[in-house]
Amino acid sequence: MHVPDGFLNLGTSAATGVVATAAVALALRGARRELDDRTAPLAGLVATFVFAAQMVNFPIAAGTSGHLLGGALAAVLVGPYTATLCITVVLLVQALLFADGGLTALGTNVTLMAVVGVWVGYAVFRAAVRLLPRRSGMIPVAAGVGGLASVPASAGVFALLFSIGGAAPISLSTLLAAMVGVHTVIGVGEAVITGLVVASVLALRPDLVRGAAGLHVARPLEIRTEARV
Amino acid sequence: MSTDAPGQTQRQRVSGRLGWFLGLGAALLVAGVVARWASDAPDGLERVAEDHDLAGHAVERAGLLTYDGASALLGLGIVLLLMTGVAYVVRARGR
Repeated sequence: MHVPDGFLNLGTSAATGVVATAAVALALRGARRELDDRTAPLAGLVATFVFAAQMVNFPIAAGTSGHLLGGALAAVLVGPYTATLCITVVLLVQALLFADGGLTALGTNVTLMAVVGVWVGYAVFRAAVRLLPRRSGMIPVAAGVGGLASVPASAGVFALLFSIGGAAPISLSTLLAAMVGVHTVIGVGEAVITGLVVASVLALRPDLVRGAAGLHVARPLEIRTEARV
Repeated sequence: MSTDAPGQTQRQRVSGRLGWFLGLGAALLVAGVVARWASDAPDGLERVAEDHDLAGHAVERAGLLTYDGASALLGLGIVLLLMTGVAYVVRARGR
């Protein structure tokens, strides 16, 4: 979902640039509480994995493909502020070096994927954690649900932006239906990948899954005074 | 969030360094191997843009790097260095 240059007019692009800049500034402050000596290297790995995964377009119906956005995945693993920074770094490298996503559209892409994707994904993940049974096995499921929601949410915000400052006249309802429709299917792929990766990290290093903090530590030591035979 | 707080049963099945290399290996595997089977079909936004005659408005430009072979690896390394650096700087300021 990398928006190229030319899709949105300069005014809209400037506005999303301001939103993106403010969001990154807030994320730089918020990430201080999320990052320590253990999680800082993980943040680098999460950005690297998302960058790699975004190279792999998976086919969905009718000559269309999608790829991981990674916002929900990053938020569950390293926290939403750090995730905002991770996805921004990925988008920055893609736009500057790979011409993947426009330069004037960089603020738009950061807004769509590093802000909307991350924070909608994280909010839905948190809500799912509250609704599902409190077991660590539910964490990958909740992460998948967050991933599923994050993709059509980003797509929907793109449709809104295009209706404000798009290069061509198209009705908001038409574009919204098309964008959200396709990206809900892509969101299923996002959900599967997000759930599998979170499950893998939970299996190896549950202490590193920030979104599972407090869930897998709930079993206090018990003192047994009688030997059981 | 400390790993050794009393009463916690946080398990580390793999050590920090091994875990880091496993994570990097997973990223390399995805970029180097799984990406060979990536679909060339337009992505969701490109599909919608084509279907609704918006695609012509896209301003295409050539990138310095492509997502093949060594340049993909270079991109991976740049992202790793950049985000790890940002994370350590943010962590240092937070103390």
